[in-house]
Amino acid sequence: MKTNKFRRNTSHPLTFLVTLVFAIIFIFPVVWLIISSLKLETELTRWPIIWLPKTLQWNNYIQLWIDPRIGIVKAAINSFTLSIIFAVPNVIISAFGGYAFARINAPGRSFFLSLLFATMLIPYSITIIPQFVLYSKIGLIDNRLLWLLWGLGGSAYMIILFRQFYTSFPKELDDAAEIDGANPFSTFLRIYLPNSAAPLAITFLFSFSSVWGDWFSQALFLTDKNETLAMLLATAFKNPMGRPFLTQTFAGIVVYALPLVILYLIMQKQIVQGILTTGMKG
Amino acid sequence: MINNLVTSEKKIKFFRMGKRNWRKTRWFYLFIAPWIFGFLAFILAPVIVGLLMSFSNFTGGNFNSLKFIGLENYTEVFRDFFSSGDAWLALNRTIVFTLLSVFISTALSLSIASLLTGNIRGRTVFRVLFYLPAMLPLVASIWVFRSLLDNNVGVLNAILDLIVPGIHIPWLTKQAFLSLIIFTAWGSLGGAMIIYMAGIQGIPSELRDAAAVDGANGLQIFRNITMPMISPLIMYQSVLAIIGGLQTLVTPILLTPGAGGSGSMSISTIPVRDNYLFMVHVYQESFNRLRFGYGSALLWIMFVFILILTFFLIRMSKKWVYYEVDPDSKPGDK
Repeated sequence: MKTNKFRRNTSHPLTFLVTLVFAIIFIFPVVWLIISSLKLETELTRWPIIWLPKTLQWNNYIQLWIDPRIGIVKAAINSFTLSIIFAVPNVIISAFGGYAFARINAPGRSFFLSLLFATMLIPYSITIIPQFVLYSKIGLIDNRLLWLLWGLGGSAYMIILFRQFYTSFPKELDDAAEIDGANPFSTFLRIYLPNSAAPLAITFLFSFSSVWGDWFSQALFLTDKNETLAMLLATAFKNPMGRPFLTQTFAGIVVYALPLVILYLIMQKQIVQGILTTGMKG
Repeated sequence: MINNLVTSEKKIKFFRMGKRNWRKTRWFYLFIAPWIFGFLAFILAPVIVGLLMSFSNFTGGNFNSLKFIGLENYTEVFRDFFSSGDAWLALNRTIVFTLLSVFISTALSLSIASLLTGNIRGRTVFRVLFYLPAMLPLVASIWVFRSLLDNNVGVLNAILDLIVPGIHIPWLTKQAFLSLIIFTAWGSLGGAMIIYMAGIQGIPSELRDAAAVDGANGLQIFRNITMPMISPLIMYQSVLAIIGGLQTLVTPILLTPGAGGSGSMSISTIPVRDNYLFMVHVYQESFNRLRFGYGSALLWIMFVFILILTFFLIRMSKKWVYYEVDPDSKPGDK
């Protein structure tokens, strides 16, 4: 630890202060979101601004769930369904792919590995309009099955993440399994998969949150019949007179963001590792 | 000649593959089959269909009168470029937006990463705080910023009002472009910061210590040691951020919807003029005016532009970037 003697020079009290100020600015929007969700409607829309609510309006959260006009329960179920039917197959398929690329030596492997990397360069937006055109012909518009199909296609980022992880397993493992007469499939199921808790968790989180937090493809491919939280919350709730109901919208936003934030706080170490392996940002 | 020999040897190997190897090969392709299916169905087929569409007069439903019209859509785009039409305006806005937001978020995430990699107290807590915004769903962050930047009752105006009483800046309309950049920088800081932190921590500490012994201050160390050492990372991150920035579509629509913004949000909501980015134009042409052919031509021009840019940036990077780290290894490996 002799290096610390010099490093201490760089960490000035001023550095701490600057970092703290930056952090407060950066986290303020999140704090403001929570405060806003606990205000009265009149406290939120008044100028000069009312910084803190007089009493915390927990009722906003209760109304949010029991008011049938809002329809948040249905939207939450839809969001959850889409995220799950995408994430589960996506993680499993990607784990299989990553294992194959890392452990099975086959002719053509390096070609497909290059293809894997190359697909990451193709912008998502270039494929989405033609997908819309194609799917409208075969009844996949306004159909949740689409997310299952997308999930079954795996994901290049995650295959690479699994490949990176499985490359570090010792070669003797495969040899021992082969001598015991196990084929690659059972080797994977019995040896590799049980030892992949960390990458399974992180890819599941990334997969799940990529659908949960997505608005674009849901707004494009689904209609109100299959409305998700993202679609529901993109527009402010309205009361019967057609006036926006912002406080409850904010409460809805908190409810919508909470699962991801909690998962993040629990898994932040693995998330950092996942970001570093794939360059993907959640 | 030697190359030929090598390939033919490979061929022989391929054909003489033992039974055991053949079985393995089968497993390999079985395992990656779903991904290949995904690649064909969700990437290759759409890309080809999109290319075909761009040479046609497709309007979304005219399957009976569909015809090949050659480069007509493309010439229309270039005519638009030369007469400063919507496509040209959108392309300009997009390039300015991308450069500014990538520059700002790189500068911010680099500075915060280097602040956090010093011997600072509470580093983990800080890292959690700075990454948190990146975890929020897009629609959530959009609402927060709509409320922070609101023209009438926004928090930013309230704060500015404390300093300069009576000031009232219409952030979401007149200053929409600036708002979009602030929003983008805020949302993209976390991921880049984590990558830069790992990069900086991967630099052998002897280098910085030696410089410190020689009397270099923090800023000099940053400029002469940290920056050159992590330049490949900066390069890589910037390329990704530029590619992402050029494709920005959703944030202008949701953050700064134009007239009637309180109505319901959809892909066809038109953002204020300043935030009419290229992808917005593509979607307007395709879904609102049902000119899928022309929209696809616009998309392909952007696609080729992105590919050329990527290639050019990678080539250029070899000249001025210090590469020592194996690009395939994790940034933190060294």
